Amino acid sequence: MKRGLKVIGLSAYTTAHRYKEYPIEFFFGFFARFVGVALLTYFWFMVGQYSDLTTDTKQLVGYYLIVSGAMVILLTDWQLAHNIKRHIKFGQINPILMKPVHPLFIFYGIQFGSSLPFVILSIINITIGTILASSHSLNPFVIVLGLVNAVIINICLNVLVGCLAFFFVEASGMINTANHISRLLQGMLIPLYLTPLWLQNATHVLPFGASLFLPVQALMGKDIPTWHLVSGTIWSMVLMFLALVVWRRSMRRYEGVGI
Amino acid sequence: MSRISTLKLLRVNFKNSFQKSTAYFSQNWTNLFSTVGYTLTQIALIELLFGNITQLGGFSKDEILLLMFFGQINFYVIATFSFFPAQSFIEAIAEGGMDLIFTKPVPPVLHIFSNNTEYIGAIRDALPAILPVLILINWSSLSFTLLHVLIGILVLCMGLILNHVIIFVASSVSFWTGSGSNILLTYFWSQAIEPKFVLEKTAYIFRLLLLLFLPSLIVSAVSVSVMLGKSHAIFWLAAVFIVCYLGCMFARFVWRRALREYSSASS
Repeated sequence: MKRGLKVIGLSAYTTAHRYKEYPIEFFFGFFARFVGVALLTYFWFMVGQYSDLTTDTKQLVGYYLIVSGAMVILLTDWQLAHNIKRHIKFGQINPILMKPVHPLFIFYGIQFGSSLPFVILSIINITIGTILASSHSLNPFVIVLGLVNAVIINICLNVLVGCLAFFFVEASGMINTANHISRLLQGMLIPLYLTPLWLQNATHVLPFGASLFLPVQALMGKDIPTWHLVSGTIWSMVLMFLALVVWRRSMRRYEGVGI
Repeated sequence: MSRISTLKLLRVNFKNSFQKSTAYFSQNWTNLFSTVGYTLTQIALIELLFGNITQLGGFSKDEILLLMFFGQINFYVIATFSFFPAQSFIEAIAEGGMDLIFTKPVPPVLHIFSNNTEYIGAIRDALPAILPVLILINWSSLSFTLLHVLIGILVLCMGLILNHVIIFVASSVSFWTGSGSNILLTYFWSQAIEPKFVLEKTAYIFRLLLLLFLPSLIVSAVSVSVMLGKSHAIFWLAAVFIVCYLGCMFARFVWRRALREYSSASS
């Protein structure tokens, strides 16, 4: 595990190093995400201000600032799955498989390094969103448990969907489909508290509620029902097991030069 | 060698694109699922949102769906004819592929942008995205006049041209920087959110700033607003025409400067 964490750091550093050669890419990467976040936040500001919605505008804006930040840090943007697919499709996974460390550590490091401009903005967004919309009754235990469960669930979902690239020539469409569906069920498109109760309960019975909405609500100081936390914890363990099993099965199918 | 005619070039590139698109047929199915998934979730968003509200910035649900409809048209036209070909353009600049293109007896920009246009992919992706929205709109609840619709369509067309010009200029920056993917990405993010943008309640100065930096809003927000008679049609027609004309002139200027800047092993 210690070696794995070291590998994550090294992979992230190597990948992020390209921004030193192309600093304008760093700037525009940051600016691109800033534009996306600004427009998304402004859209929900309009919904709060210029419609007959009873929800406080500050809560909506704060929610979306935290969501847009958490998307990158919690890996809900499915870029890890795209990364895995790209490496498999172009045979770049071969040198990674030959290294004496689990490949998923390297993939995670590469992903973290390439999304460095976004991570910086994400931290800023989460901080501003939390200041804007949170009540003062933050529960550190719920926040930490929620974040840990969310990271595990999202990494495992990314690995599961990314492994489709071992079975299909072109898996981008499947990753994109998973992205679109999860955006609705995780509360990215619309806050789950604006959806019907049956849908809210369904997302928490499934892993989607715990993958983004729960940690965001925890950061906003909202009350989290215990069964939501329990469901998230169970799903993180189940998905971890499933991801490892699917990865091993996929490796048995894989053929590459030198492997 | 005599110059190849534009029509012949487009015909050859279309055939090439068709063969590429149909080589891996499973890709077409998976992309179809992705597009259908996106459309269904966007429609679900509008339905869930309007389950809590009755109007947004003075726009009813059907008017927001109309915004979404034109936003989707903008997205697929820009993605097909501008954004993805521009990425190939940037790669060609960075990897020296422009050398080969310049030696060919074809207009280089037309060749790059038409050679990498996925016509089949566009039809495959756009139809499932646009048709459900078209069907869901309750057209009898929208009030149009013929004049406003015609002006709105003109504004829409000029908006599409302006979008293409901006993407071309953004990708030409690669002649100086060597890499420009994130510059395009900046613009792409705006396409993803703007379908649901309502400008009417926005402060006037902020509206002008938005349109200056995100002219993709012209295609959906402005053209729909003109069609529905919510904005001054002649003003927007004139304003968009002037901006579009200036944009085209600027793009020509940038291309000429970029050519002077370009150097590689053989040129």
